[in-house]
Amino acid sequence: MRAFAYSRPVTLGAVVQAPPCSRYLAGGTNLIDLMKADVEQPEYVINIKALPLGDIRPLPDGGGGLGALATNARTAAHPLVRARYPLLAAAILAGGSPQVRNMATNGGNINQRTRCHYFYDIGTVCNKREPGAGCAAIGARNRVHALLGTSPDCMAAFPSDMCVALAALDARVNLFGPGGARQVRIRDYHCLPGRTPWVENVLRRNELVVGIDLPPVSFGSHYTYLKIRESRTCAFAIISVAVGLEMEGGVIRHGRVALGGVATRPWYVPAVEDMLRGRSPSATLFHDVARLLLHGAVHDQGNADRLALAPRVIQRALWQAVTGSPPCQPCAGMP
Amino acid sequence: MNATRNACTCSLKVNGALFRKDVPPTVILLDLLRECLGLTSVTQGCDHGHCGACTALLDGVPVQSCLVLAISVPDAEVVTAEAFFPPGSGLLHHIRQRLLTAAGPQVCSACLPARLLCLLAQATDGQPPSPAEIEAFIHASPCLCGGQAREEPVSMSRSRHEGVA
Ligand SMILES: Cc1cc2nc3c(=O)[nH]c(=O)nc-3n(C[C@H](O)[C@H](O)[C@H](O)COP(=O)(O)OP(=O)(O)OC[C@H]3O[C@@H](n4cnc5c(N)ncnc54)[C@H](O)[C@@H]3O)c2cc1C
Ligand code: SF4
Ligand code: FES
Ligand code: FES
Repeated sequence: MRAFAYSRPVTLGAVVQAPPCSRYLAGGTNLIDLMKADVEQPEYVINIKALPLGDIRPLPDGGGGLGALATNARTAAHPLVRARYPLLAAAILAGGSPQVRNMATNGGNINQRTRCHYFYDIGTVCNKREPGAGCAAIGARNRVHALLGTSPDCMAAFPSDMCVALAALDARVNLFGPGGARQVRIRDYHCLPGRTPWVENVLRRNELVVGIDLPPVSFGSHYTYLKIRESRTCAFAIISVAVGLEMEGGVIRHGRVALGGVATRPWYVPAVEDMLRGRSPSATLFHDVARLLLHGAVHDQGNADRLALAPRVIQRALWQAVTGSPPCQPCAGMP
Repeated sequence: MNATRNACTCSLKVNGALFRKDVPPTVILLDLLRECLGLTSVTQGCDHGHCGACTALLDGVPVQSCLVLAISVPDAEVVTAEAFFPPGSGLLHHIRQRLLTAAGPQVCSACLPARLLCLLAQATDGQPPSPAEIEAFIHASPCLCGGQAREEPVSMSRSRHEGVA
């Protein structure tokens, strides 16, 4: 690992005065790994763990507030999250391993970088690492790469599970920077690669995530986080689907679906909400929902199988949510 | 902002003893435990957070010490398997053997240090676990290569720590 200068400020004011070429260190599960691989080469590492951003609390509007420095483990186990946002708890518990979740923070999870093998391998070209260098993944071995939101410059999948549930819950990300505080919807937080794959989110210079606000709608009884992966621990999603439904008399009053693992950012199509509203669950409806979600998907030579798999997984997740969250994934609702 | 490239003070409580030393910011907790303190129950496997071989308890919860900067956790309490057994105790070896035997021949054993530590950490009275506790644990803790018996990892979220390895 390259040498860097280190500090551990205790106030937000000090943190946002970070010099150029700094990186914030939270749980370190992604940053330290990337520094070991020489992908991240910060001159300054600013440990933000001393900031008072670890709380999880109810919000006055009936929603829930998650501190950026609350760990993923504490978030998934918190009574507020377990009771009101079991979809989020299930998504978090589907990610990493217990040890990783004990270290990983909510702010770090949102800002984690892609798991594209070529991004990790500094012997290859990568537009994310070096703007304009080219993309080694396109036309190569790219089974784990994205089908949705790709560009000719980058097809890297965004790896977070937690963010997929946050997109379905329409969470807001609270930011703080030299210009003050602002809030961004999670659905607008991550950028499509386009011609600038190295711009991954809307964070401005020296801004940091201070928390996440969850709206009151929680999908407490009809939800599913279905993650298809190659191993139960420490495996990223081949595809994951977060579904939240509000059912009344067998009819979907309101529903949301988000996808992970197959897109360059947490994938959310607003028109799906209209398609589901007031409809009875049926194979035709769920087939149409899958089509709408996957509209515009393009595969490369290495990941065509996942395009065939995706509609089936989406439909299965929708049925699971209709029938009331069977415990097919480790989830917070389990005894 | 005061940032330094120089060695910083690393102050920890490791297995109950205070540790204080100036180390460069780049030193990883795993290396510090093994090389400075000789705590070799913590091992290096993948070095990327996957395998769990480097698991230590940090302020009571299992973490991957290969992803922790030693100076980034000031005054933290670190516990390794050595805390539970006096040096030279045959019991540690016995439990390790039992875990290996239960797994059968087709295993890589990468997950054993972490599983062992979490098993010890869950023993409520600070005493080495009973044979029944060992058996229960073997069947409830996940293993990456699939070589070991596994059930739904539900017991993880029930434990005092968020989970076992
Ligand atoms: C073995 C392994 C398996 C994993 N499996 C999964 C999985 O299956 N699913 C999944 O979703 N994730 C998985 N992860 C990724 C893990 O969830 C992330 O690494 C973790 O959430 C990052 O959080 P952190 O606090 O450790 O971030 P750090 O590593 O500290 O930081 C990550 C990045 O975010 C930035 N950052 C951190 N906090 C903030 C903040 N508050 N504001 C702005 N920027 C910030 C840092 O500067 C850095 O660039 C896995 C990780 C490992 C090591
Ligand atoms: S897909 Fe994106 S991250 Fe991967 S090599 Fe290409 S540009 Fe880099
Ligand atoms: S050495 Fe494999 S997780 Fe740390
Ligand atoms: S990881 Fe191989 S035996 Fe458990």
